[in-house]
Amino acid sequence: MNNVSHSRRLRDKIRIARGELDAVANTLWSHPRLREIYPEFLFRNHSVIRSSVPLMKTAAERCDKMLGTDPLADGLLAYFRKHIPEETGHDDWVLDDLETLGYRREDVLKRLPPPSAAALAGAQYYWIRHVHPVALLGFIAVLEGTPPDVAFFESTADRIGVPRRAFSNLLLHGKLDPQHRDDLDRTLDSLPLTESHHELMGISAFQTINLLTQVGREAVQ
Amino acid sequence: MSNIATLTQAGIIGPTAKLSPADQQIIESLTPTEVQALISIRAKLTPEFMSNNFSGTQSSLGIVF
Repeated sequence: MNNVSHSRRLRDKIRIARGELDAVANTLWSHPRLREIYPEFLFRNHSVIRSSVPLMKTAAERCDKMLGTDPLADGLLAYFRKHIPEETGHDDWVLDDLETLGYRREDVLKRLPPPSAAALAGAQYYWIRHVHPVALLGFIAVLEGTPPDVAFFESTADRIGVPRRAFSNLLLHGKLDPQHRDDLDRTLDSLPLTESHHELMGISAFQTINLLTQVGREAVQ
Repeated sequence: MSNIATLTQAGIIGPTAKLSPADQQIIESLTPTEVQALISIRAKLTPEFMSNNFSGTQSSLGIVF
């Protein structure tokens, strides 16, 4: 595997492990009661996506402290500093979608997030603070790895009879995430990653797949 | 023991799974810690679950970053 790029190595690991996640996705989007389930999915989506920028800020802070002593710190810090503004406010898009469906923002924010979402983000805080911030790239690679298909979600909104603007989060990410995925791959390929870094990113990605599958499954139940 | 044998014994890979040579290579390249992580989270690496063989209509859960 030594002649395979860093990004390809991580993507391959994710591909072999993400089958159940894909199956849950298919169950969700083909569910006969999707119109009824969709707001609950959005709530769980918000519970996860609200942690994106704080996680990157935590990782950036750790990288900043590692500058000069860790060979990855400089490259990772540049990636997070570019990506933080790109991701800022995306949690509001989910709240906008819920508002379009008649749910008040303040009511959504008052609800306690599911433990599965807390575990998903919480694991990353652990890896970042206690092991190495490169772990977060495994998490991001899973979440940005399969950008939403814009045509599919436009037709899904039409099919279940909700305004397309209630799918704004998915439609906007469908346009943005292919570029973000490529940015991450370029970052991975530019970093002096060791076998130990690959192992950590792999475990972070496997754990992310597992917990994300749980979050998705709970939305369908 | 190979990674594939370990994962099969743990029920992570189904006993009748037919893995492609490329997938076998990826699985055998995993470290023991990664293999243990897959066992710990009870991942399913059976072909019908693996996305390269998955025939679903939408593989993006839509929980994005």
